[in-house]
Amino acid sequence: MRKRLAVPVLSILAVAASLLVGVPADAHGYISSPASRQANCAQHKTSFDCGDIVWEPQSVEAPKGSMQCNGGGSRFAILNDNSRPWPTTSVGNNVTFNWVLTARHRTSTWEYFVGSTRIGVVNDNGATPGATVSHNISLGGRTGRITVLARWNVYDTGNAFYSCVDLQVGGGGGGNPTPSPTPPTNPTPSPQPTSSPNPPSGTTWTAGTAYAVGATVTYAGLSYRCLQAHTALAGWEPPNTPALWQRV
Amino acid sequence: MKRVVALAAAVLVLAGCGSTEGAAPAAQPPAASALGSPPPISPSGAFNDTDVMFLQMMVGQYGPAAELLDLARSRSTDQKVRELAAAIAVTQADEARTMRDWLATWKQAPSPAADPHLHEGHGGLPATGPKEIEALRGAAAADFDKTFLNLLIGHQHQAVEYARMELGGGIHSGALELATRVDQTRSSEIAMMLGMVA
Repeated sequence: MRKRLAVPVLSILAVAASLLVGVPADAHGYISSPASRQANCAQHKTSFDCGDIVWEPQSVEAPKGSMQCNGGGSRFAILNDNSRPWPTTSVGNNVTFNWVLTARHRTSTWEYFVGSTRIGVVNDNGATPGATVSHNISLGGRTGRITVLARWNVYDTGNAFYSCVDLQVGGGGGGNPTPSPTPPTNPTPSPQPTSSPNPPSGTTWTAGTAYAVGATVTYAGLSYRCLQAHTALAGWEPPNTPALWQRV
Repeated sequence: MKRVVALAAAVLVLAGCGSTEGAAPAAQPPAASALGSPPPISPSGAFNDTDVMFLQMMVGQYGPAAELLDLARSRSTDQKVRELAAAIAVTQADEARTMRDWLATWKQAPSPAADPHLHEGHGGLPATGPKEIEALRGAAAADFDKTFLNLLIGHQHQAVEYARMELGGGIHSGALELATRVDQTRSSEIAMMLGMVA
């Protein structure tokens, strides 16, 4: 009976939702560091296409109790694919997990798992999370490449937010390297494109380039001088950003 | 049940955010968006409720962001963080001016007037309020960058959500173009900041 009802109700909601295209996605939080799988996707640091998760890493919401990186279901299933070469972060035995929140839900618990073992739990007893959320979790002496599954259990709904974090534990030491079946680790992520802070004058404006005050570029046939040091981004084209670029 | 409540709240929010009174007529009836494709861009400068809501929600976002960014410009010890904060601050100040001008021209309120509680639960109002700004102000030097970056990343994610909403339902060509840039710049900023927080 419930199932039969579900279809019409959902389709009504779907129509209503698209009528109100207005309603932003229901989205709430993920682990920013060490980089979770969705955080790596959002930085385009994977060697494969992550799909929609790229622009909404905060949206991995699913019913509580799943042990999968996407929380179960079909959405964002790429996050479950352990055959992908997910970038790892090198860490020691104690790791501080930092969360980005886009909505502050009352929280029951924050749970951390390796495999089926819960290695950490923080009980908020229904409190609203503070401005930032960080938990220091012991990995219990595990070494090598591991994946930590984190679950943010919301207090007043049946849902949780899921983040998986790929770690290389204790691999950086000297005499006893742990063989790893995974691709090279990425301990010092630097998403900034490497470029000269003072590219030759008169080059074409390019996203990803660091421009110093006074640098000149051309864009769409016109010349501009940089007013404020910055790394150029798509959307910050000179004609769109009079605060950064002046026509010359 | 939660969905129904959320939807009801969303309806109320829309009712509160955008009013068609005094607005130029939308070029396309709302039914068009029920078919799954965005409504056509208005050739005549007309706007609809989604355009208004997008601008109002963005305008509401700039104030708290400016406070976070000012703190970062003066307190971060990382030059890359300071430089990014400064560039975001000046570009967003220009955006905010444009958006306020449009709302004024359209004779719309500069911010959503609805009860803020209606926005809870669907990412409606900015995640950054006085409490979060105070937390950043009070952060120890060693924790400052981490606190700032995680707060601003969350804040910019919301702007992406608003921009996607506009791109799916707005009709005003200027607002749509601005939404495209908001989507692009925030996504790039988030990627840069995730790299810095790691």
